[in-house]
Amino acid sequence: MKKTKLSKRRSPDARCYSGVLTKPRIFLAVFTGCCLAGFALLFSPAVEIAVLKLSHGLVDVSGYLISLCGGHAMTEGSVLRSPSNGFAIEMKNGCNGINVTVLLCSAILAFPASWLQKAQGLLIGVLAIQTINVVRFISLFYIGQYNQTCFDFAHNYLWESLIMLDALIIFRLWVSMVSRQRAGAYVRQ
Amino acid sequence: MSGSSAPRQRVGLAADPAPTSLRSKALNSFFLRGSFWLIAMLVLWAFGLQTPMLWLLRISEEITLQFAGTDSRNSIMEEPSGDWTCRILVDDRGIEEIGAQNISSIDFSIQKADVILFTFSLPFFWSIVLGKGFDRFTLPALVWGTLSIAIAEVLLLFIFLKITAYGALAQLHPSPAGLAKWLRDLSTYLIVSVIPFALPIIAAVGFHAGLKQQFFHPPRDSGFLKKSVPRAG
Repeated sequence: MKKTKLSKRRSPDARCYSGVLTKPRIFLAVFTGCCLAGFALLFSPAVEIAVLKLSHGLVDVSGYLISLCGGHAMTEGSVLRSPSNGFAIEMKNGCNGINVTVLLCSAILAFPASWLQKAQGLLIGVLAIQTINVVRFISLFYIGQYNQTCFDFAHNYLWESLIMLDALIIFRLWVSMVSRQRAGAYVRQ
Repeated sequence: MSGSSAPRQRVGLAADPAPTSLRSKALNSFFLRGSFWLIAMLVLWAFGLQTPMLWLLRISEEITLQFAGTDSRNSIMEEPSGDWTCRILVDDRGIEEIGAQNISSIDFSIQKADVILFTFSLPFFWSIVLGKGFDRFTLPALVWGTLSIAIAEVLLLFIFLKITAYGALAQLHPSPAGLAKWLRDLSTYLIVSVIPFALPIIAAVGFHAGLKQQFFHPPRDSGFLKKSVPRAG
């Protein structure tokens, strides 16, 4: 009886203790569930408006950064336009990194860690992905002015897969952070 | 056991910075190698592998459509431009309009650029696995992962063709936008913008034991857990 109580009490601690995944099937199930819920939410009218505003914000940030570095760009909603040659690029749903963000957030939510650690991971992860996405958007803006074929290749495949790889690295760094924090807590005890 | 070994473990964890630096070095090298292999594989794919992969995909898709009951052997035809013309069976029995004729199949074209997406996951998967470096887990992961992704891509294209056909059918029988349209939009988004990029990562971590270990069970932490659990008990 005592053993059962101990193991029941210890089990969640042990799962959270070192950021080690002990139940991959549960992780996979929660990850899939969170992904489906997240992507389903993306297609609800209220979230669609929020995503559109996010896209506008990202385009504004990109335009501001280009101006800050001495470049020239005009923003019109979710469109970034070059005043010199008229080339324009629009940030649509899928180009705003929201798909990668949902995947990363689902992985963080599914991984055994405390809610505080998950909140930290979500905040840092979303910021990191969106920072990389702004870099991607600016680079595509210049690649598109240079060569349309290169733009298509970089837009459809190269940057999309690189950003996925980045999400994987960010997730791994967060797992390390969770492990270190738990190891530190154990040492202090 | 716990009384004598636990203090040593504490000192080791607090004082020895080597495992952390080794771990971040391994992560950095994975990222650099993965990025290198990604660019190399995408170049190889774009200039050498696309044509044979598209041919294999078309043959596999035709076989899948035969199993799914398409009436003609030439359910997918490749145009000289590389675009595909597809004939997909649809079930139009749900529409009961008086005087309206039921539709048994829909013909439509898909641009080559859209079809290519269904061959992209393989080079991306190879680059992730090769980014980990060569070890005893690499070959089995490459074989099983390649097979699984190839099957998944054929199935994804099949679902995409069906969704496109039923989307066209819905335009022929206009109805208020509802759950069916929402599901079609969501499924198309998942098939085009999410799964081709997420599947290689999931397959790589799932099939490569070394990658799984690196991403979910950091070596030092595994040891830490093993020692901490008996102590807690």
